[in-house]
Amino acid sequence: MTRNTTFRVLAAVAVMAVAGSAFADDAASIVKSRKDFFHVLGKAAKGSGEEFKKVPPSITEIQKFAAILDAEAPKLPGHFPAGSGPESGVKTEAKADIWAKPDAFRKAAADLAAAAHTYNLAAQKGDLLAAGAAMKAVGGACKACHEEFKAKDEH
Amino acid sequence: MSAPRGVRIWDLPTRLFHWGLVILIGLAWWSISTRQLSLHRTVGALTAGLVVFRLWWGLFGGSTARFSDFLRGPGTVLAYARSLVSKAVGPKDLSAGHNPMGGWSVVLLIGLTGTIVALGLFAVDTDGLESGPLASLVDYDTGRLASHWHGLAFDLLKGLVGLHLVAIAFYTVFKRENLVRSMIDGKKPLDDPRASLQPARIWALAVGLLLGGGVAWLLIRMAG
Repeated sequence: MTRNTTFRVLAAVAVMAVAGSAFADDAASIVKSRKDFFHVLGKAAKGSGEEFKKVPPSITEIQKFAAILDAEAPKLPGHFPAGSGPESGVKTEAKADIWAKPDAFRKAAADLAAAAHTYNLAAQKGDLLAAGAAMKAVGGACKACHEEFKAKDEH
Repeated sequence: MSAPRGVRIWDLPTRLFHWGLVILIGLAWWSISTRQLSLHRTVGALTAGLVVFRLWWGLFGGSTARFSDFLRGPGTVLAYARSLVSKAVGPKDLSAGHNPMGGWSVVLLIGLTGTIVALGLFAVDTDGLESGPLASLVDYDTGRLASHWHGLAFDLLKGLVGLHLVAIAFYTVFKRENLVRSMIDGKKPLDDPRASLQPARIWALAVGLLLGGGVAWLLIRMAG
């Protein structure tokens, strides 16, 4: 009887430990792929910004970056499943507010996707002027969301 | 040179450099804290110009501004440190300008400021949109790394500036030397006029201004 109880307790602890570490592993891999995802956006934004500064900018380069942003931006909310915030113990700059204010976060992400789409449409049409203005809106969307939902880099 | 405040030890360019750097470091800190990236880049460009000027002035400036005047070996530095905290006699033939410890702190402060400016040239912000004037030469990840170190090095600089202020307070309280006033009027209460400053040649000043101004102008243009 006692042995049986002991065994059950041990088994339960073992299961929880495995589940717990699996959960932490899971959060770590989510955070990792989230960072990779934002690197893709950051690279495309950097490339865009630099291309617009060139005289003259290359529309084909801009189309490339705009297409990346348009294709990737809508995936943003999917990179923030519940349990992947600071409470997971994994080092992340994602603030808990993302999950505390889901509507505001979804709106901020939708703003980015919309801006990226406008940017891509203008770029594919070859309209440099409209694309430049739209790219500014993309940057504004990045900044607005980071302001509210991303912890400042403590370097 | 029979003024009551003693002999001249700092020339005007060295003093202007010092107070200019104080203002620019403050502006750099304020502009980044308030996310004014354009201003931050301009401040960085001016700081780069100032550092370039100071390096030149360390070779061809007034006698007390020259590295050869105040960079001393570890033996001299230790002997000087000992004389500060005990009754031991300090090393002879010291400059009327920087003491052996202060000299190395000057080099550290200038070197670290130069490093911060250099890293800032390549820094990229998290959005990939705001960046230093040379960031287009590196990829996003390298730019992010530069930005990270740029911030870390600035934390280190804040620590060094703190130490600098503590040292000034130490001289005021325990040595009765008003270093701040000397950095303003360029003079030190010394009896020995032979210890006084040998001013630089005017061409050295002209070249230094051209070099520093040129670098600042170039970087401001590239950031624009």
